[in-house]
Amino acid sequence: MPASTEPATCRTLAEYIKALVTALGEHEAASLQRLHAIVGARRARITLDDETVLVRFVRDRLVAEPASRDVVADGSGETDRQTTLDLLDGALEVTEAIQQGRLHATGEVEGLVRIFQVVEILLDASTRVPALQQLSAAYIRDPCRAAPLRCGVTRRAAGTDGEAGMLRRLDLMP
Amino acid sequence: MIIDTLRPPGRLDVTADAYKDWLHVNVFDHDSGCIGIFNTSLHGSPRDARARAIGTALMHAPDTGWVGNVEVIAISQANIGPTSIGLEHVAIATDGPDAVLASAALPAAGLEARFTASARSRPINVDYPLPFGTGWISWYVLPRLAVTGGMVVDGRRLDLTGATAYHDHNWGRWHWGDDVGWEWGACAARDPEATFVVFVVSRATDRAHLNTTGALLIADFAGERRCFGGGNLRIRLEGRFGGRLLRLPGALAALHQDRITPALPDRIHVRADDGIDALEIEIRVRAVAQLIAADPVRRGYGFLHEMAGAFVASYRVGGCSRTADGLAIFEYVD
Repeated sequence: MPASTEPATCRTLAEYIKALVTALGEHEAASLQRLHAIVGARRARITLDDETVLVRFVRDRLVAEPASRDVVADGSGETDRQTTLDLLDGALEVTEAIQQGRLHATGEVEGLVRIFQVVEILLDASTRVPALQQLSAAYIRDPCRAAPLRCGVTRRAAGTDGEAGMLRRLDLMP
Repeated sequence: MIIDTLRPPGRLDVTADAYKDWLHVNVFDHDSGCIGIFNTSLHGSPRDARARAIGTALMHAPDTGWVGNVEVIAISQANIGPTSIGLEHVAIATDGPDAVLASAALPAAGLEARFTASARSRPINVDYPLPFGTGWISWYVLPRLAVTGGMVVDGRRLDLTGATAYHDHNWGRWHWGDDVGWEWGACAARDPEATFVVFVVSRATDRAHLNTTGALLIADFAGERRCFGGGNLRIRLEGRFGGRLLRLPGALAALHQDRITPALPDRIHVRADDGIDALEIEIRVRAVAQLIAADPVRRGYGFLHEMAGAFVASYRVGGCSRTADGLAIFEYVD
């Protein structure tokens, strides 16, 4: 629940992604180099609610452009604002989000592993880079996005039919 | 009279980036079975923009589970006094040597609290640096306090009259992620008149909890204090806790997927006997919260497991044998 003194502003998904990577590079250049090395020439499709962006590096510069949901990429991640807020709030574990169908990650294994490595680099750096924490706070308070729906009940109601439910949803049950 | 204050580093302190300072209160409400954890802490040099203040307010209720959350802000945004740390939603202050005030305003997370705790036992003052990893740690402890005030837990109002509390202030120099860990516990007996029993169990360890620097048990029996340590004290962690952990902050929980099911005990057994006095305690763990502390200046994490439960004890002091029961918290840090 990071706080920020910044005024609440509206940002698009592409602007958030660019701001994250810019802040990382300004404060932990080595982490950005690792991130760049992991991504290489690959492209990721990121969807949050009704926004989809295609993310890639062009030379040393990250490019995040609006895209359609069926644009070809090496891996893709899709979730919604409430799931993101629940993850930030500790009300939901990543495995639960996947099992409940609230977080989708698709693609070749190598592409997916690299997407999650990038997320790890950003989360890890955020503990030492206040600018990243401020972006998280700005996302929570973003006036152009739905207000957070957060309460203690959410934490306890995180029931799930678990792995079996996920396999059923993906039509992978025998 | 001891006036316990925060210990911020001076401008010439070359270890300032490893600075840690915190005020901690546990509340044990025997009527409802609720156990509260309130903590405000400072991490890193106050002159470093990366330094953080963290506020924790959690309450475990037997019927509804955990409520509350963790708040993280820049140290520069916190309201820090000589004996107080205030964040936007969680604040703790000491008032003189024997009173602690705490408040939490986290209605969206199901917890609001405002209470004062007044000492009902003598302090334990360890105002010198105990070796701790590559750094050191110091303590000031009020093992038992009486509480006035109230809380709202998931919409239910709790009058804390009759509850007891534990308070400590820790300060020192270390980095999260160092090869350090500790085990600590406090047991508050239900009956303060007949069986006034508080145990503080502490042993600093390495991160794997293989090499300990020695355990210490301090027990108060209706105004009398006994200390056990060395070969007179044995602490065993038994069983394996199988419940779902509450893990906070959420972003760090997401980062540490390998820590979803840590190997934690579901029983803690403490046995002390110095040939004259003796006691035996069993803590049964009913819920665990994993608080993940990130170092603000170098890559490293500490995992503080707050294990809430109940205890039963039997003891022989001054030739009299008695039993006690109540609520307990045991902390396992690695």
